[in-house]
Amino acid sequence: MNKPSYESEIRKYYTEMELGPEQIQGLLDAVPFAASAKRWKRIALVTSIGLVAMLLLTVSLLFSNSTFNSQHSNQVVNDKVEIERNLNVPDIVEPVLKQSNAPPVEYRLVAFRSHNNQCPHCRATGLVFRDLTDSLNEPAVEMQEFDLSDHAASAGIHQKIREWKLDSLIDGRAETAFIALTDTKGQTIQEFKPSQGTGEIVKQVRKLINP
Amino acid sequence: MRFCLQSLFHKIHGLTVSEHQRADDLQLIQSGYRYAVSLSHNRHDAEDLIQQACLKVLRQQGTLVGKSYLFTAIRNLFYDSLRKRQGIVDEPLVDNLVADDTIPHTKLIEQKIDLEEILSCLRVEEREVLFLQIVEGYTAQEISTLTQQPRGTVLSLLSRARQRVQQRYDLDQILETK
Repeated sequence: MNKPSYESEIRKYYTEMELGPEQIQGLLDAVPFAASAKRWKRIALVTSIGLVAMLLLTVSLLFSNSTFNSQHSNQVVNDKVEIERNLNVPDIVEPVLKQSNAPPVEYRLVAFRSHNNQCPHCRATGLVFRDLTDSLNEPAVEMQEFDLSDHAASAGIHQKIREWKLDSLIDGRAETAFIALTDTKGQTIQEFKPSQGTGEIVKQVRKLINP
Repeated sequence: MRFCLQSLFHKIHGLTVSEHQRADDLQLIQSGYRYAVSLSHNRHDAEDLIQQACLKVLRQQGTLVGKSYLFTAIRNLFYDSLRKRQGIVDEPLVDNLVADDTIPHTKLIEQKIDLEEILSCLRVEEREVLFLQIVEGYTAQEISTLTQQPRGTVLSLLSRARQRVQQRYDLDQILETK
């Protein structure tokens, strides 16, 4: 009878060799615990990473918030300084600030009459100017009549003429009556005569102020 | 009651393992143990090796992963312990390191030679590749990948191991016939 080959002998030798049941049981019991430990380790790692990320986010938010607050407080301080500066503006500016809602005055339509109603030219000028006051509804145009024959109000009239810088307009015109459109600096844009009529004057004024 | 509490504890911690998985793990541990025996040629050392390797793999991966992974762990642990015990370092395979086949001859002729003694005459590397090929059915390429050695070295080891075992085996048969 032939003896089996050494290969089968070796195979049989190793195959019959087995680990004891107690040791096998111990190792097999360790497997699920190891898997659980690994899972919990992974969870702990992920949680730690999440916590670190949240911490970094919180710190960055706090940092950015403090930066914003400092900028905002600087802005508030600047605004306060600006407000205080505005409060120290002279009284002459106050009416302008109060009327800030109204459109600014860019033109002035003025009428000068030397003899009130005693002369026909002055009387006609007064009539036409009153019609212009009613019909010309332009917020950018400020209208004012100067009756140079009113000696009681002479001081106030001359004061107003100086304020509006209209001295150059009436210089050399001792006895006259006319209507003129000027800018706010007192520069004459155009003069009108009462003979032109109210409608024509209104048309020309509107054409000049709205080119 | 105790069983219920134990199963509840296992369910809470996700410790339930299917029977199929348990059978696979059992086969894997037995294979690892045999591989450890082939390396150390000592059952007690092999038991220590397989336990250490299993715990190491379980600690790192959570499961026993696979045969190659477990075998590699066993192999690394074995050579680590060998270095610690003998203070040796890795040395290339040279002819003078091959087991001396003249030493046990007279002794073996006088007594009955069994397989364990035949295998003990082999070098660790020879016994390892012989086990991997004959018992586990690995090819030379697979063995070279597992043991991280060139394929030529593996073939050389196999050839020498086979030659040596064949000689001893034939000698054993001659003695038995006498």
